[in-house]
Parts: sequence; structure tokens; C-alpha cells
Amino acid sequence: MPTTAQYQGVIDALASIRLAESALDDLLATASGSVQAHTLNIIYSQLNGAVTLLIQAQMAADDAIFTQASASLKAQAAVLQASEQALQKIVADVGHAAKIIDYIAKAAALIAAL
Amino acid sequence: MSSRQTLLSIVFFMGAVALCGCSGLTQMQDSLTKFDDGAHAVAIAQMRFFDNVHRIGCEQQFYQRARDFASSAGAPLELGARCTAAGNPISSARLRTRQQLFDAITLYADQLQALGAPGDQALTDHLQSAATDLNQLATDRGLITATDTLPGNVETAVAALTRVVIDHRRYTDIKAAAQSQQANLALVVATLKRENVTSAIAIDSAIGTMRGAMTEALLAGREREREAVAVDVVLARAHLQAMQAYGQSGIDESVDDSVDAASPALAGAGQVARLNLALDGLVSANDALARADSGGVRAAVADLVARARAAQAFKTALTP
Repeated sequence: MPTTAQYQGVIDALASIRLAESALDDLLATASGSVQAHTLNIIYSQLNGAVTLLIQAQMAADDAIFTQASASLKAQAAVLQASEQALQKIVADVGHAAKIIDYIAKAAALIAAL
Repeated sequence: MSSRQTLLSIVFFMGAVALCGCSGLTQMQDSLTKFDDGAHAVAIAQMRFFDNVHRIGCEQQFYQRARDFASSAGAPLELGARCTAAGNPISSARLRTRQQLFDAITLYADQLQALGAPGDQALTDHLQSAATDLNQLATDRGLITATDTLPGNVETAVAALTRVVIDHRRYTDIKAAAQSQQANLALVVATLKRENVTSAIAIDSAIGTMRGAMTEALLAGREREREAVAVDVVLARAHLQAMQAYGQSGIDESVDDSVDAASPALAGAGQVARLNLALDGLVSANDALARADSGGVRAAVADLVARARAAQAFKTALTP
């Protein structure tokens, strides 16, 4: 079973990723064209992958499932960092991009600490 | 008092006692029937929700393949591809296990109703056989698959709930039977409630990926076809709206406010909130039965039925 701190880390990371997804939704709604939407869409899919793994870790009833889910999540952290860089390149609204990057970075740090 | 008057008084007194007893029994029978109906209604609403969570997971996989096909010349067009368990919040195997959890709950509720009825208190052979099979599966630790996230003590709870049906001659007292299962029922319900919330989060995220894929496709379509893409926009909206109803704050737009008027506490509540309130109602009604306070039982069972109906009223179709 995960420790209380690990469990809380998973919950906080999940909340952060969901905030990033929500902010990304706003960007998608005002995307300037299909090329920008394509990049945002890829980032959203990567975040969705992290959500699936975080839920798996949150619901894990035994050590083996939690260990497997947290290992997959740590591998996903590098992908999340790449997402941050991709966002900076394509989003003109610096403030909005910074907000999303902040959510992703927070989630990545929480995942790394699992 | 003459001997005739005394005899009449005794007969009158005995008749009154018999009437009171009969009326008390009828009220309890009525409450147990409603408890059973409520348990079945919650089970139907909950399984419909899980089934839709599963289907949304499959839809997401299909959209991913559609997007791959549309964006890459080499990607195959797999219109008949099967849904896979990986990445689906509720796989087919998990769906089957959740159905078995509710089978245990409804078999238990059926047995409580039978205990309150006069005559033979055994369920039908078919139901007894179902309880025995489920009990064996849970006792052998075969209910939860290796990849499932359900805690192991859920199997112990299922074994105990179905034991009431198998050993119905041991549980002749409704209060004692309800008391013995309160913790087991509460454990299964707490697990399901947690899963409802995480399922809704998974749905919200999955819908986001589909909305992203649709937005991208619609933008590309507009760049080529201008006004013609408006029809696709309408279709995309209808499809997403149906799925959004199952998310965390999802509201079923097809349910009008007459349902809310009947249950003011549920006004504006999304489906997950409705389901979790109905599940709480099940535990509260069983708790009232365990305390055997007839007024409390009537109120708790009426509350369960109202909450179950509100959860059942949610019938948003997944596809337009």
C-alpha cells in the first residue's frame, strides 16, 4: 500500500494535471489553425496518459500495482517536460502558457517524489 | 362483569393485539420490499454508469485510431477494431466484477425481504445457487483479477453478504442480519463511491482528448471546406455533450427539473453525485434496519428509494 504522503502526492499531481488540461482546453477552443491544434492535441494526449496512470496509482490496492504505476509515471515525467517546451514555442499568450507549464511542472515534481 | 362480558373483552383484547402485530409486520414487510427495490434500482443505475464509462473508454480508443488514420497516410482504417482493456478506466473484466458486487448486495436485500415475509424464507433455487457460486468465488479469492484495483477485503465482504442467503435459517432476525452486514455493505459502498469519482475524472480527461481531436479535425476541415464544416460542428457537439454528462460535474440535460423537485437535495447534482448519494442511502437504510426503529426504517428506506430513482432518471444516451 502507498504511504499517506505518496497517496497525497498522487492526488495533488492528478489535480495539477487536470488544471493543466482545463487550461489547455481553453487554448484549444481559440486555436488559430489546425497546425496549432495538432500540437496542443498531442500535449493533451500526453497529459491524459498521465491521468490514467495517476488514477491507477490512486486506486492501487496493493504494493505491486502502485510500484508499477509509479514507475510508469516517472518514465512519463520526461514526456511532460517535453510538453512544456512545445507549449512555449506555439502559444503566443505567454501568461496562459506559463500557467499551464506551471501546472505540468508541479505535477512532474510530485510524480518524481513518489 | 358477567362471564360473557369477560369473554368478549378477552376476545376483543386478543383481536386488537393481533391487529397491531399484523399492522406492524405489514409495515416492516413494506419497508423491506422497498429496501429491496431500492437496492435493485441503485444496482441498475450504477451498472449503467460503469457500462457507459467503459464505452467512453472504447470511444476514446476509436477516436485515437480515427485521428491516426486521418493524420497519417500509412495508418490503417480499422473501423471494426475491438476495444482494448489497456487504458480503459473500466475494462470488461472489471465491469463483470462490479456486476458481481451488486449481485451480492441485491441477493442480500432479496434475502432480507424474504426474512420479513411469512412462510418459507428461502430464496428461489436459482437465487440460492447464484449466491452459493458467488460466495465460493469470493471465498477462493477468485473474484478480483490480478490487474484490478479493488482491495482484497471486498472479497471477504461479498462472501459475508452472500452467506446470509446460504445460511438463511441462521439469520431469522432481520435486525441481527442487518447488523451483521452493516460493515460489509459500508465497505463495498465506500469502494464503489471512490471508483465513481475516479471514473468521472478519467472521463473528463478522455473527453478532453476527444474534444482536442475533434477541434483539430474541424479546424482542418474549415481551412478546406469553409461553411460545409458547420454540420460536422453540430455532430461533434452532440457527441461530446452526451459523454460530458458522465464527467465530474456532468448534468443530464434530458432530465427536467421535476426530478429535482421530488428530491431537492439532488437539484442540479451530476450523475456521480447522484449515484454516491444513492449508495449512501443504501448503507443508511441498512443501518436503520439494524437499529430496528420502525419510524427510522420507513424514513431511511423512503430516502433510499428517492435517491435511487434520481440516479436512475439519468439516461443520457452516449451517441446522438
